[in-house]
Amino acid sequence: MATPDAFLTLAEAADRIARRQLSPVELAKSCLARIAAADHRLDSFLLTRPEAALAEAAAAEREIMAGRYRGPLHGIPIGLKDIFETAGIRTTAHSKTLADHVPAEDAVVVRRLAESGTVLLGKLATHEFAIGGPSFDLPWPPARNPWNPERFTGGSSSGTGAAIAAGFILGGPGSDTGGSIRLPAGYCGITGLKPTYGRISRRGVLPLAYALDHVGPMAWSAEDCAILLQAMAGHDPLDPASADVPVPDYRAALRPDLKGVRIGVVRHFFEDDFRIADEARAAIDAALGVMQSLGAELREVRLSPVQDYGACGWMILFAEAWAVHEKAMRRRFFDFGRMMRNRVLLGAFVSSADYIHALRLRAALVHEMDTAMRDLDVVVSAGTPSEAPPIDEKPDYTSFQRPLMMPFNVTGQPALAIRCGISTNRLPLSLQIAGKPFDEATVLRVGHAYELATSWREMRPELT
Amino acid sequence: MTSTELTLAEFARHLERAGLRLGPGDMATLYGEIAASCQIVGEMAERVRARLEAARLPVDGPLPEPAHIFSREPDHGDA
Repeated sequence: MATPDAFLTLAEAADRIARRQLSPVELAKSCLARIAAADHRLDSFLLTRPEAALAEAAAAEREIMAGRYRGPLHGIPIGLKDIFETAGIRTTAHSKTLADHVPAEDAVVVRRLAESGTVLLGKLATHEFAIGGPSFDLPWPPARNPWNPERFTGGSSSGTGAAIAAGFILGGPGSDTGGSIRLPAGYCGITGLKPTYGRISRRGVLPLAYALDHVGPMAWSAEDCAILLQAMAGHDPLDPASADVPVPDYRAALRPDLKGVRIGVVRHFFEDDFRIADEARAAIDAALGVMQSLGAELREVRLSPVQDYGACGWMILFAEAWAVHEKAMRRRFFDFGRMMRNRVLLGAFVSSADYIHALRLRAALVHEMDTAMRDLDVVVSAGTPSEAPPIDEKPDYTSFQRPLMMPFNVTGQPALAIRCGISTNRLPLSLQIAGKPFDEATVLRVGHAYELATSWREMRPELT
Repeated sequence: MTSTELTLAEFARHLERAGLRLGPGDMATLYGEIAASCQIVGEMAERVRARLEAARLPVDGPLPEPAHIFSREPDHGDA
């Protein structure tokens, strides 16, 4: 088996490993070397485990050489956002309050990925307990954007976004309560899928807001996400939100064209309700043109203002996050970082009536979206509102007034963030593709066809 | 809560009722940091109520679903 070329996608590496043209050990060594050389500028990892990872890679290589190939994740290096519990490996939520927390069991999705043969390189940075922002008052620094380390990664799956864009890992799971997979995917120029609510078990993942928490794959491409989703998806009777729905073959559903695909464009979300940067809007328009040229049928759809979805989602998120953290905050308020505690504390100002009204509005908005999508396969809207902002920009506590991601947490439908351009400052721009509940296959198909038709996937950040 | 701006005293009383015990200095600092966000939360609560009324889902009427459970129906999708 040979050593890897730089910057393989997960799918490319998997195909070479399957053909015994690429050694999992050499692939892991290559990733670990890249981490050693460059992560001191990005701070994407909170913990690496090189010896254990190389042992896992060697075991994978032995199995493959003995003819016991498990599938396309066998021998693939991944990382885990540090809210995914790992048996015997410290899981901190990037928080002083859990600095010594070593779980006894793996999260379900961690176990599923391990059973698929992945090689775990380490635990990744996050916003503290998956909320807040890039904080400098925590035991570890925030992750930085590989396209420009002075820029924000997006969050809360910040380390995962940075590590994939930098080529440190080939993929990994993120969590998404109000955009935490799709924002870092957008700002770091990778691909991230928030699947349908209930598609992937959240058991063993530290919660932020029970009714909105999703786990999903992050990787370099839609095809990579399809491979990861295949391993991660499935019913878990011990997760009360988990859905018992058949899991289709996601990679087999990928096609290079969009013939017959009906796309609704929710333009008012990013033009009227909230105006995104001009170059971000131009990139979306160009992407829609590509999708049309691939055979898709486009039409505009009108929904409630994006702020309605945002208010609904944030009220639920604030109330539930306060319920999750109130006991610890009463006892250890100043052990939490300022951004996290100030954001979570807002839940103390949400009344029980406000929370119930938000849940009721959620039902109405789900119905609205279902009705709007009756004759559509997917809807497209903006992803990140602009290029990544500076990481040290003064924290903006009104950021929840720009809720471009929140509509699809409220409705629970699958939503994919993909790169659709590069700004004049050479930073990624993104859009979202959202589908019907449990139809991740069509969402991934649209993303994959678009990625094949454009050259964005060929552009990697330069780690100097 | 409403979007009316909270005074420091109201803010402190509210957090003390929520079980947060801070000294006067820390409470004043916290007030300075998040009072504006609290007002936005109040505005969002008002938006939710207004939207429910516009959707003819009266805020004092019967719930349209068991509100504490959200689960997508599998047969909504094509897959």
